[in-house]
Amino acid sequence: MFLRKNISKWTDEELLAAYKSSGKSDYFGELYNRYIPLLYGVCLKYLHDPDKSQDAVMQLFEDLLPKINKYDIDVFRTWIYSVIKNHCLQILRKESKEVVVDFSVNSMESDEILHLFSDEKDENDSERMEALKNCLKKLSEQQHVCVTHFFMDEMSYADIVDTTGYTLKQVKSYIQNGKRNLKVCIDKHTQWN
Amino acid sequence: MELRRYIQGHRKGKDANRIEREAMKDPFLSDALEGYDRLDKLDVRRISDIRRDIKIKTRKRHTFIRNFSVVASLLLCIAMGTYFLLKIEEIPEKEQIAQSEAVPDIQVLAEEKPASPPAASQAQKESLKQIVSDEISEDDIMEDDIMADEAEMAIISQELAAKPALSPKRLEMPEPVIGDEAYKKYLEENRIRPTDDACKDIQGEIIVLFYINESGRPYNIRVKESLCTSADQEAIRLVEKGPDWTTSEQEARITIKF
Repeated sequence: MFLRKNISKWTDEELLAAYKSSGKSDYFGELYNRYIPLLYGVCLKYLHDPDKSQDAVMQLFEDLLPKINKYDIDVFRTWIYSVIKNHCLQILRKESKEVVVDFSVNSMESDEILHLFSDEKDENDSERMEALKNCLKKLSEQQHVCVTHFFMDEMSYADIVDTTGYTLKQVKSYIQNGKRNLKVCIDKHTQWN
Repeated sequence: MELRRYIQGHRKGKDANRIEREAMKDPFLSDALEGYDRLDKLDVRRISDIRRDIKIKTRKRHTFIRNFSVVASLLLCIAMGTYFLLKIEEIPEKEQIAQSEAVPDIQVLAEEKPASPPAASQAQKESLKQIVSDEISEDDIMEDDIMADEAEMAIISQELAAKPALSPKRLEMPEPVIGDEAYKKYLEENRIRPTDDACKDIQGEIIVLFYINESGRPYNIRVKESLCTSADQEAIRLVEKGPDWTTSEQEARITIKF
């Protein structure tokens, strides 16, 4: 009980190990609590309904509490994400007669482009920086505006909506496509040089 | 907490931008934000409710036993004191009645065990407290203690047994003959973005539903909710011209992102 004063400062992996060795559910409770906002959000994405999502998050907790010590978990954050996703997909499968096969063709962006826009650049990037400048000019006007606002001016989607008058969907789309076009363009540039 | 402010609707400024950029790299965050975007307004109390429930469930375990033994020993003293008082007054019959009353209560508890809702464990704990507050001996208290834990365990293990395993098994459901990975690759390589003005910059997911015939070909292919006409058509074309599926009665469903 007296260890509890700093429990909130422990890392995920420390909490997990403590639960494994002591069996005291407080440790796992503390760990799980950290991820509630994210877990609830993911459930909302798949289940849509706040009540169902709340139940799903609680249900997963109860499922995991006795079982989690048997798993060999590397990084808790990544692990719990795939677990909650499967959990929600399973709930969906039970409810609907359709087969739910999750094919997300769009993969996560690499942070290459993001890196070029940040302040932590080094000399190796100078070639790509040069290419970036040229490629930015080649973007369509909407993509150019949105990309520069987002990455250089650090404006949020909502800010950009206010400034440009585009819809939220459009802003996200312009940024996504703009990023893709930049990547293709920069790769082409640096290949030939 | 930055994330909390963002999902509550504070979407402006550099902090918001930082979260949005983070979401580009982190699928966990990205999915969660997508989920919150669906809501018209977020009831933040939900998150606090969940947190509170978890705290209750984790505290309950070991402090329950500790509190129980404190209460039990206090009542033991009262019980013993009363016992001696009664003995002085020489009314032996009362003790007999108190003890025989305790036994049926414990049997009722045993019968209640199979009931599944978690509320049952709450009710049981209250009835346990009832029993304890009657005058019974130390042995009976120990039994209740064990009963309570067993009741809890029975409920939890029943609930666990009723829940499916964590890794989803796909039985009797249609699958691409070449496998999920290869099919995904097919979709990625053959998807042609629409070129018409209305749809060329559109972003979103299209859910495609279809059945499989005996030759493994998709038929009755349709889009669950239209995103944009030419995008819909492209999604349908991809499935129609795509590789075979395993034959199945079940309807298949895939999601294609544009």
